[in-house]
Amino acid sequence: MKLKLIHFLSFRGKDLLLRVMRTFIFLFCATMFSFTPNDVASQNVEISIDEDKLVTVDEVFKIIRQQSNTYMFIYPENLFNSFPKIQLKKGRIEIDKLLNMALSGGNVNVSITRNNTILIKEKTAKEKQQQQVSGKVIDADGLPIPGVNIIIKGTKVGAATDFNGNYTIQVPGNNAILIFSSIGYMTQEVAVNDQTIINVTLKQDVNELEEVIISTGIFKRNAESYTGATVTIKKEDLKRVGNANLFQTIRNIDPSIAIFDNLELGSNPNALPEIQIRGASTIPSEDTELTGNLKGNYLKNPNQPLFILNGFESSVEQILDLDLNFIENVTILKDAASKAIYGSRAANGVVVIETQALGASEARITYNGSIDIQLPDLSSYDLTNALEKIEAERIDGMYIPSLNDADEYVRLQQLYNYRQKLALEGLDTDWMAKPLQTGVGQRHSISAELGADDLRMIGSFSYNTIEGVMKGSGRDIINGNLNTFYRVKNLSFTNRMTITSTNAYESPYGTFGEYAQMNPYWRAENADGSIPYYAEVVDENTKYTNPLYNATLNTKDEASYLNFINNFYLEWRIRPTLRATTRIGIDIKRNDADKFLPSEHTSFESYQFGDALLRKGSYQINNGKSSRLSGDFNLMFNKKINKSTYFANVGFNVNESKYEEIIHLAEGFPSGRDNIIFARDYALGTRPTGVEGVSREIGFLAVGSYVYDDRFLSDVTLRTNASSQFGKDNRWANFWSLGLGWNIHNEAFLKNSKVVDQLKLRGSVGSTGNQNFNSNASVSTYSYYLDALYQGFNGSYLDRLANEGLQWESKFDYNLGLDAKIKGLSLRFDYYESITENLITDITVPSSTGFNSVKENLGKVRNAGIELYASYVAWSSNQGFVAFNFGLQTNKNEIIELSDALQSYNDAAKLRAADRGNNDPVLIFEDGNSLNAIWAVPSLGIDPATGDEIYVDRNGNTTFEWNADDMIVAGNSNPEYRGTFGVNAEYKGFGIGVTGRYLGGGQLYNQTLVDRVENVDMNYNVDRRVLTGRWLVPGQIALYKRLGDYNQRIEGTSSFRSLPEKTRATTRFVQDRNELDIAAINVYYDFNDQMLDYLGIERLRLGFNMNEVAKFSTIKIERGTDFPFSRTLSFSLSATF
Amino acid sequence: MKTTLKYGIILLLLAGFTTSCDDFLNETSSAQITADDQFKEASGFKDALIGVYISMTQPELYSRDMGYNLVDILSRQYAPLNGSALYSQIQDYNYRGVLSTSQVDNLWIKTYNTIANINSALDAIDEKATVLSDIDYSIIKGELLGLRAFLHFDLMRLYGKGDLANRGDLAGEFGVPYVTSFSKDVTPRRSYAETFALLATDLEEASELLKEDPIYTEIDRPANYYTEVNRNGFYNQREQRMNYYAVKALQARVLTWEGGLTNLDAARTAAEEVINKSTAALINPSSYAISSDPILYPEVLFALDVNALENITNGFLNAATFNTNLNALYLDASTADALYETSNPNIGVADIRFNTLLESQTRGLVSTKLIQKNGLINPEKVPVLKLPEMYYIAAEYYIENNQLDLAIANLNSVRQSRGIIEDIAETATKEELEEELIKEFRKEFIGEGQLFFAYKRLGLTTFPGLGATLATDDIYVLPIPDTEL
Repeated sequence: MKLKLIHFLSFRGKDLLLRVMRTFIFLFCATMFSFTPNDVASQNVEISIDEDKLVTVDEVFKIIRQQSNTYMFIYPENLFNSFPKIQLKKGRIEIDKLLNMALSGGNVNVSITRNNTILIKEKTAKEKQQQQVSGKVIDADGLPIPGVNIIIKGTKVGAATDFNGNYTIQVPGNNAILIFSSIGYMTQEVAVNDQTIINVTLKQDVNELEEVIISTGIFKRNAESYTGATVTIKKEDLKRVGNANLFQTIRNIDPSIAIFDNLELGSNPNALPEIQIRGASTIPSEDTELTGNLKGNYLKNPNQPLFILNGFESSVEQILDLDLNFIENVTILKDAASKAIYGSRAANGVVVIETQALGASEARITYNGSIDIQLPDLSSYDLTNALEKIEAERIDGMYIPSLNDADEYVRLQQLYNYRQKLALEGLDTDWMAKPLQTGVGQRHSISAELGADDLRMIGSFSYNTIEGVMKGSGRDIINGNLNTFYRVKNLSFTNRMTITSTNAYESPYGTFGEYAQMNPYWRAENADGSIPYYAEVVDENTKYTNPLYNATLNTKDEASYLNFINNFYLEWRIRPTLRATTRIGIDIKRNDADKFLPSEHTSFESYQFGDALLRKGSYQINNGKSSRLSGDFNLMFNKKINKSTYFANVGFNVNESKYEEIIHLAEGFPSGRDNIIFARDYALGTRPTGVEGVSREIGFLAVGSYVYDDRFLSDVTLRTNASSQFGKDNRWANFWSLGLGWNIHNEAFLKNSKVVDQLKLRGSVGSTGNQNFNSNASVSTYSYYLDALYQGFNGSYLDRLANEGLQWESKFDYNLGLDAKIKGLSLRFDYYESITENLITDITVPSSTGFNSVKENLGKVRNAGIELYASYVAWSSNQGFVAFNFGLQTNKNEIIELSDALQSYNDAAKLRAADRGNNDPVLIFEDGNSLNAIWAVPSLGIDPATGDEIYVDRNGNTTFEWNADDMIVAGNSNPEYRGTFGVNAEYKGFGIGVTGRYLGGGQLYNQTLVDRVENVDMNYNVDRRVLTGRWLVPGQIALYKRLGDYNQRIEGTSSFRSLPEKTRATTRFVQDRNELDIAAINVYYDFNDQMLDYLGIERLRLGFNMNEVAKFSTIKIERGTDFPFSRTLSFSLSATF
Repeated sequence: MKTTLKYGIILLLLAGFTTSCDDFLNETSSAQITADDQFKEASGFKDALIGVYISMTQPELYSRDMGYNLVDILSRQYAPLNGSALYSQIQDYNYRGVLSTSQVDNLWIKTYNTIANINSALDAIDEKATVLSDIDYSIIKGELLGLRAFLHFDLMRLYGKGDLANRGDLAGEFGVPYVTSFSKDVTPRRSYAETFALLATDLEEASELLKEDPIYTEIDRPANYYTEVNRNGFYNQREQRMNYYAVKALQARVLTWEGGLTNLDAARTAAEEVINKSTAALINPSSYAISSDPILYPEVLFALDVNALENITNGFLNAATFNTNLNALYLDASTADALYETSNPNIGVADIRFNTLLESQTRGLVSTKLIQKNGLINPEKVPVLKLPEMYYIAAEYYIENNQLDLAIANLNSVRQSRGIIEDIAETATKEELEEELIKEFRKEFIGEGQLFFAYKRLGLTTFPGLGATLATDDIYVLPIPDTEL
């Protein structure tokens, strides 16, 4: 065995080297070649067989001639009289295969001339020195395989097995080698030697099965007989709609996965996306103090789905850093029937990802490379230029003193003239361009496969460097994998090891917003090219710092992690029908982050006197580690008896995950010393802080399925699990699902239909749980007073009121679906409804309990909607195809029972909304409304006489007074519908794909109008609409109101300060949001076989991608305030040797 | 191979099952101390107990609002606050104003939070008694029970009705919830009668347990009795903790609040035990360094040790700058003159409470008791139970029981220790003595948070500073938080 392998390696190695060299020569000299399209495909013309039948060889020729007039056959009459009849299967078959089948039964030589004439002659006597071999081909379960192609190696002579798996073939001498191949099975070679009977067992090749296989992460199911609502996305489909990361591509395929645009962080390569499947089922966590108290300390976003990578739970960050080239397929489990196997973690849906499978048993090297270009997209910004800004300031009265003070008047006029002069001289600094760049990233991944049947390996390495559109921002990801497979008899071992190292850099330029707010008449650079600290010095008290100055400093803002994952899988085929698998996964991660601002940084501008001078410069250092250890054991049974197919899986799993992160914040640095050891002290009022958590879970699973006659389908899942996150009194929870299906296309009346390939009706119901919440709300815990002693002793206190009965949120899903394939049209339709119960909410309790609130399971939220996915192959031939696809998802979300318990939360939210210094709408949760409702006071617009806003109160009267109780549901930030559409076409190796997204039916609170137009700080740059829309004089009809001041008490004192009044939530700024995105354009070319043969390459593809090409929206809002959005261009090359 | 594997899998399965699921699932993070972990060792009980005291030193409780600030403002002992002052709505008895609502509610919430901490430890102490030595068990449990009674009693005095002795119809009415265990289940409000019974039970048990208190000298103990348990000084300075005599003094206070001659008699017994047996004693005004120890530490029965008291008090006890400190608590010179009877040099001017414990500042006279300055002998201490009150309780009983001579003797003891030269005449009538007692309350309790309760207990319909308004339950009874209803 060992010897054989070494021999094999050395042989292949030499060959490989040659191929690699050839490829390099090709890559460097690519332009010297000219491609002549060559119709090599002529041998691959397919013949369609309309039904299973037994025919003579003459009849075969007749069929070929009927369908293709390219060929002419020349052969002696009666040559085929002695030939056996041929069993043809319904479907399409390549001409040469068909010929081989037809001619395998006799001693003939076949040759094809250039003009497609096929000459058939009887063999010479010498050639006839043949030996007859026969046998039976069976599969791993011992069942015969019909239609297996058997070819004598090096010739085109062959045979096929009959319905009972039997075959007979004439071989020319005993040194021949037979190749057995069949779709869905791994090809096998057998040397004939002196054998006359050769029985062969073919192994199933899961990856090549033509039937769609659904990977649930625990077991695989055949889509034909499965009742769950799932979507499987293959590697090729992913690549067609983008190539940045999985999240960016997946949203272009399945509209039920909503990935929210982050209006602040834009296209920051280090921002983690927020994801939801089929709507929000629980109260969203928001980064405000209020909701922070409500549901802040979630380990994960409460609505985030579960990610399963190669069978084990994974984090969003790990998925983000995954190399798309290594992803084999992605399966999204949406309904109860499919996701219930994950029990208490599954309520938000499950995304199952599988990476590189151990496929081929021959050596192969694959290289993927791309250059990714990111271009900033500033189309959402509309800022004033220098002259416009000065004019806006003048109109606003900035140059007229509030008191009638002559000196002040002169000073302001001078300032006006000075600025006006600068602007007229041509100073119009394009601040937004300063921190931006065209990001040029690159990605290389190479993987090598080798091995034989029982020992196979695949090693891969990828390097990905992403450059963001902010200068200096980026992310480097290095990833190495080593997967090995080893089989001994009926035991197989698989080990997957992955090491990922990531470095994330934030721009030393700071946030984009700092630049967008700068006035264009300010100088970013002096005439000599040096960068001043102040952009403008008006007088000693009014100085504006230049954010560009920070870029000249030694700032540092980076994070990195090192992740090691090792998954071990052991499979034992006890019997052909019974299989046991054990899986053990280890996932260890260490992360750290450093953020250093040197003492010269503009953020310390206010540190002017005394002690503050010593506090300039800050350093934050984070150190974290996390680990996850999981294991499971499953026993699987699968058997077909007559018309009944049984499937069962029982198993149990154990998980433990831990994390901890410690944060130090220090300040006071000698200039530019970028190491925390130079700090003078901890930042004022801080001490080491951190987070730590551990959770453990045990679960048991039983799944059963019964299929009758491939027509009637049923699936049952029972799952029970316990978690340390739940209260002692409620530790175990049970989840279940039931799915039923009917394959109508297998009914007699449709079975022979030439139109309907598939028509399947399925439905499911079941419950799953959500445990994305703080790990210890169920037990009472103690903390220590850190800032007080009593008589010199330490004291401890209770953190919270524990609820020992706390349990997971449970979600009931109902799903009704239809799958159809009619001619070229495939259709998938689902109606879903889900009710989340036992929402974990902080409910108010009488304070005599010692606390104001306790976490309790209370409330219900309902989500309902439809999903539709259709694809249509408009044209297809062996030359190419044209296909269209369309996806639609609707979602309506409603709180059913919740608001009473949240009364105090809602009151507090209203209080916050009523604060005159607040300009954001707040979330209020009331029965009958959506979780995403936008609450605002109805507005009639701006009173031309006073410049005040006219509101409508709850009694329908007009008023100038804003009152939180008058707020109504003015919109819904969750779009009613969203979807995708696309067209893909391929012709002779050239392919093009365009993918778009759309959404609509929802609203958005236009914060840009509030912050940059109405509540604008005139000292900084503003949106152009300021010039035209603001109320200034009585009688003016304006869109934006007059602004006033209000008094606010200074905390803990009796004095007040005056602050500018902000615009509180008003329907004036609730705008309809309908959007259309051209999300991806993809062009590629696959080199033809002739060219590849010449280069010694198996496959070669050149591609070009454009992502986020264009956006059309009914709402004009600044997107990407801290980091701009970007468009990406990417050129890629993929080659397999 | 096959058999090895078979056994391997069976072993793996067994390992999964034999590890007790519950132990496995009980894991919590090490940055979080579960109640179970907390009370695994004696030190956990000590830390929890100390935590209760620290909790009581919060400004919303005894280092500010329950002392010299909120409840003293209610007694109108200070010069009226400006309308923009933080506590002006409290002064106006507007308990549901923008600022006052949270001031009133915080008191309730923080007190019950402290009680929850007490109950959490009490819930565990009997179950885990084995981790504690007998002495530790008795003293810690005694202190916890005493504190539970102390806090509930103050809640009842503040949020319940006063003058209970003369309003027999109130006995069945609901007062405040008396919470005896830590749970999310709501404790209903209890009737006054039930509350007094619960208070009596807790205090009785506390005083029994605290017979182990080193401060209790009635039992002869071997010299090294406390050496082991008090290795690190945990039981030193018992007057800064809920000690035996503090419990007795509290008992006297509670019984007086309940009223009626029988209860007053029992209160007197407890008060006299404190007077006669405790180490606390009234100071001698001529020899004691009062200005270095304005809280008169020798008279302290129970005082709290407050970290950074200066930051809490000095903003309020500062009338030095004119008009800028709206929250300053001070007495007008004329009010002080009337209160301390300065017209009579043998009474007013001689009184250390006037000449030393008040400090003349720009705007008026400020109580020096809690002003933190250099040279204090006992800095950062806030007394919550002091000896003079015991004399007053005894005197009150004797007045009611017509043993006027004994009443006069008790009152004169306090007067003498305050430097008042003129004793109350032996001929004083009952009415005169009742008046003298209230005068004493007003003079003695400045800045100590007891005067409002004295008015309330006696059901006075008016008191100085109130003007024409009639003092009714509207003034005397603070509203409980909305969440409680």
